[in-house]
Amino acid sequence: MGESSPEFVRTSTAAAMTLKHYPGRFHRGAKLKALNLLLTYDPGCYARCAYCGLSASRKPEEDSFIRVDWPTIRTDEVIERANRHGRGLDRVCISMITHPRALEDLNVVARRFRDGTRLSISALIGPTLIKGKGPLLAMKEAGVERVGIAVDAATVELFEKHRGKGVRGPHKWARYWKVLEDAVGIFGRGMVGVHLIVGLGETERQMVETIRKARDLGACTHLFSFYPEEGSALERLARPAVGHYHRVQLARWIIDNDLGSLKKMRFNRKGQITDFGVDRKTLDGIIDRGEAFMTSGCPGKDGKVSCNRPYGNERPSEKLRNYPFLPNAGDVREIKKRLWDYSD
Amino acid sequence: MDSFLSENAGYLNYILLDRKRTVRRGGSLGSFESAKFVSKLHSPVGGRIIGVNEPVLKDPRRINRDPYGSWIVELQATDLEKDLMSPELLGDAGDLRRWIKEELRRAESDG
Repeated sequence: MGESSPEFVRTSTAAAMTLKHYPGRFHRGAKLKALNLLLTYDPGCYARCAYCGLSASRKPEEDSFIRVDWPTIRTDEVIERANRHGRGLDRVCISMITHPRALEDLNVVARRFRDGTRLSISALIGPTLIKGKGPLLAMKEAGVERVGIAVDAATVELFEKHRGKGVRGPHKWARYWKVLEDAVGIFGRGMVGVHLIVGLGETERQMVETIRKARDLGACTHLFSFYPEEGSALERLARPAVGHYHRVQLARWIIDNDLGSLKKMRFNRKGQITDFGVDRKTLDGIIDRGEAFMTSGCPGKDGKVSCNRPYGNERPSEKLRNYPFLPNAGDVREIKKRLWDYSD
Repeated sequence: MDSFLSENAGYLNYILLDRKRTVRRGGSLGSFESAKFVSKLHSPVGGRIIGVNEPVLKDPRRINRDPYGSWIVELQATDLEKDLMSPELLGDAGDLRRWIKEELRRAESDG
């Protein structure tokens, strides 16, 4: 069977570094707080998402995912290394891929982490493989505390184009949202995170409406900035402007923290956010604190974001989009400059 | 780049040179970047750049595999003896001890 799950998992480069499987340190002293793991099989993911590094339609010579290498490591070794080197870690996230064995193996891996570590467990689940509530209940039983659902695309049209019929892929928009509702019912309000990728062709308004929709259903949202994976169908699509991304981050923060409402937000003809629907003083306070621009993801025991994915969305030499730490005063000055730039 | 620096940087993805003809001691030659780290590449000595190792620029991970066999630029030093005696390179024993202690403290706090 080769190196496949549940005996093996792939870890992000950041996780491999934190587990001292890879050399290296993080720029600006960032520290990883959550291990990101992927189930792995040969052949890999059956889905064909146009932007994804794991897509079955991607050129076979390319092997990165979300910009970086994901080395394959024996699951027990990951647990051993997490216990030995992972003092700063408080969560592990196990990601399914679209493979017939993934649902069952997710629970096997989750149980091993539940029994072998003190880490809280998240699972990034694949709704296409989930029929009914039974699998969600089984995950909870296996120790999964929170789940993430990678809807990724903000509209049904973009979802179909990049993940469904447009790429002859298996995913269905309606199923994703149905599983999300079921998951909220089982894991609880605020315990389900919807992954959304900014920059797949949606307007800022469409993205904010989807964030609002997720919030109304009892989920929270975790944002990613589109990064073109070499060899994927969208390898030539430009990334969203940094200002575009920061505006969506700010709107998400306002919505997910109940600081304002979508109804009061204003948009221009290009769908860009021009008014966040909160008074100037409140808005300045939110921006100055900087938290709105930190990576959004599952929280740790302290309630702060644990899944901080340092440099997952950009090279360390580029302008940060998801801050893996609290932005400093200089960062906030930069953010303010980009936030009000509508030139994209 | 020595093994200590390449271990700290992680697997290198890019080495970008400024492509200038001369460099002073401690001046920037360009930058190096891994998936999660980026920093300037400082020249240990001043001089004229007479060669660039293009295969290493194309595949920077050669440095991770063989840091002492993978040179980046060849320099014709202007005053090698003076540069090698510079306090930045040598420091004194106290500086070195403090530096090692700080590195150890940082490594331990990393878990």
